[in-house]
Amino acid sequence: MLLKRYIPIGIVAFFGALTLSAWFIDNETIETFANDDATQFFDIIAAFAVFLGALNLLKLQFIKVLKQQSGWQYSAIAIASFFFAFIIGFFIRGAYFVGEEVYFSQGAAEEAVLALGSTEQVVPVDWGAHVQTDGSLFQWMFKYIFSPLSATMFALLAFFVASASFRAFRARNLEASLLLVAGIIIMLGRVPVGSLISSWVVMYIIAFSVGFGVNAYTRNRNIALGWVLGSFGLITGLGFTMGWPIDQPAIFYLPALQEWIYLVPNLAGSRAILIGIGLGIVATSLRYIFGLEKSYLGE
Amino acid sequence: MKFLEDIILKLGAVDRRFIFLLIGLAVLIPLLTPITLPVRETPTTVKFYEGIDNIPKNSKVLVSFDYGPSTRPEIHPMNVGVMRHMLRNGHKIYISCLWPDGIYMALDALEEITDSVNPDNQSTFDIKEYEDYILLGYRPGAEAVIKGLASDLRKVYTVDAKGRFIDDMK
Amino acid sequence: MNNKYQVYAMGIVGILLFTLVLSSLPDSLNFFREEKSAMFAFTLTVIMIMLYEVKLAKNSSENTFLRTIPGLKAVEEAVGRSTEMGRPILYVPGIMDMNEVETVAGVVVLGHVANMTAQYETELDVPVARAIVMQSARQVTKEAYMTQGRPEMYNEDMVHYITDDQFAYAASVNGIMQRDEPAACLYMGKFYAESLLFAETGNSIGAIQIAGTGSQTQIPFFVTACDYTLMGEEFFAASAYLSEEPELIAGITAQDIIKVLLIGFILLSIVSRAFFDLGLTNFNLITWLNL
Repeated sequence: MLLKRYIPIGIVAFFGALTLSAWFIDNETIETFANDDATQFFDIIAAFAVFLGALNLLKLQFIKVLKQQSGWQYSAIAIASFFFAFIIGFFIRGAYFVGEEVYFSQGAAEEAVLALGSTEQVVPVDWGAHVQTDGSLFQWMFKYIFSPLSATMFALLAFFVASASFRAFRARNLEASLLLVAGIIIMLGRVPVGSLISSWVVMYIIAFSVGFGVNAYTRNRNIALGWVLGSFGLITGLGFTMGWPIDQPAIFYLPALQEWIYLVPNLAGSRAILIGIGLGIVATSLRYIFGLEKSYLGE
Repeated sequence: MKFLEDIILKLGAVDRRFIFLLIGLAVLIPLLTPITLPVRETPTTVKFYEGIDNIPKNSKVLVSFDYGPSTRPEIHPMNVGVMRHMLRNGHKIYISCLWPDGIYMALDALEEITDSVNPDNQSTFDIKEYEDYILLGYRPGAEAVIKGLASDLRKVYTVDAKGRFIDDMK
Repeated sequence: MNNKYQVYAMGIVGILLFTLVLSSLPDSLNFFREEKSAMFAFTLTVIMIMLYEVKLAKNSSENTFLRTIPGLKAVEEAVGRSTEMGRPILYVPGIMDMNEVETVAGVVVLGHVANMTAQYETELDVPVARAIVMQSARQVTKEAYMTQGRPEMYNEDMVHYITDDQFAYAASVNGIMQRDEPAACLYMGKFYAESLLFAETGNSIGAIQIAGTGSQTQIPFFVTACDYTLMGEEFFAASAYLSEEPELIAGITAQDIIKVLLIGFILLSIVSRAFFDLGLTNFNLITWLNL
């Protein structure tokens, strides 16, 4: 009980309180511990813990391959990729300099020296720098295997955002309609084509849309038509008077409207959620520090 | 009106693969036949530009590459633009990376702006490592590294990306 | 009830006096950062309210009212649905490590979900992106199955490590969803861009999806694509809600009281700042408190 419960809770309480108080105490040792050392301790532990994870991953993938379970071929690729990256990172330098040129292996570098008749020495890159050197084998793996795969996964988001938006932006009720209209304004306002759409076009669209509302409210087409024609005439008159500037009145200019929506109502809403999240984090952290919440220890 | 309603309802029930196809075309067509549109700067862009411009000339500036290949199309052109702006104003650039992938993004960015690597580009500079920029490299720890950089850069980065001691550099 | 607020009022006065004393210490004894006095007083106030509420909850027999959070009510429904369909439950505790409060909260909720899956004998799959989270999640899941008297149902490979890399992890979890077709997908923790990848893939396989996160930028994606979303503090209240322990619920009550205090302070600051900007006073509360 002591080892499994009270000591871990004690450790959490002590270090939690220490880190919290470091913010208020003017002492270099405590400050250095809280700001630098504690984070570095965690990073070192996490780095060593990766071995646990990697062994678990290999174990499960090997079992799948050995038992020839469904999809075992993908597991074989996963194992091969793991060892490929592991060997390149830990056992192969992959960067040998001949002047400014970089070669993957010592043999290739020496062959190049002979072929060019150069007097340059073959200089192997230092261990550690071999993963960050331009032109190294590790960088080749990163550039031609990892980068395209990573970019592909992120690119999927473009398609998923479109399909999620298509599902979400349906004008089922007032809130959904507002979301749809705000979404259209933001999307158009953010792109170059939005700045080409004159504010007068937007005014005409708004006047026309309000016409639908007038028709629904009054149930009289003549009134609705009157509204539409009247507002169109007013807008046209204003336009001729002002000379049809593309970005005036600014309230109807999409980039300006987009900026306002982003900086005012959107920011207000997100700050409100952020305050709630902040309070939640404070309360949750205090629950862990004071030992009120022990479930993460497996109680 | 009913006809319009029917069309809208049918559109709402469309298979999402058609939406994927539309997105694919929306990306592919401008890629194959570029459409040039005027780009209007936003107030935030102007503020950012002026912020960089107002840095006293010939300062030492830290640029952090904290992104990977996944967000490269979004962030990389901005970072390259920022570095060009810095070099035009005569600043010295210290390149740090808080993401492991950032070092490779930094190497690519340097390739794009260096005369010797990219001689056909009009927007390149005759820059030399250890004179105009230093590639400090990746350090794990995120917030800890930032705090460390704020207090003492030489404590966080004892060697640069190529293994040279920082204390040996001026 | 009136006594409680009297205690708080006296407590706040006491805290302010204590802070004043600390700020006034002579230089030789001064270890306190005076510029952070306001935040110090606020932190002590939060701690005082929380501990007092917990003390009251321990000594009280009344149940505190908690409003219904549909997302949390739906967790049991999701587990039941998976049991009926004979399909597993996928639980994703975020992509960050145990140094994030959201990940710890996610692991805590996993414990409650594991209790339900042990009870209903439903398969549980927990792919994780960090090795430390794997160990912690395993411990929590094992304890849950032991508590329910189903140790034979627990298998440590239920919680398995995938990779640290964000999009490689997303690709793997998507693959698991496509192949295993879980009936319920629960996303509880810290997420970044991969949130929509999870949610859309889960939507495409017809799973019931419940998400909870404090990542403000990802909440809209989860709201759009998931059936239920726990936004911000609802997620942090999940543990109290699911456990129904009075001490934990007291923490939620404390949170609400602190929120009221904070709203009052914000309103006061707005008025102070407005008077300052209009030139009616020379006093700005925010500047005076160094906030």
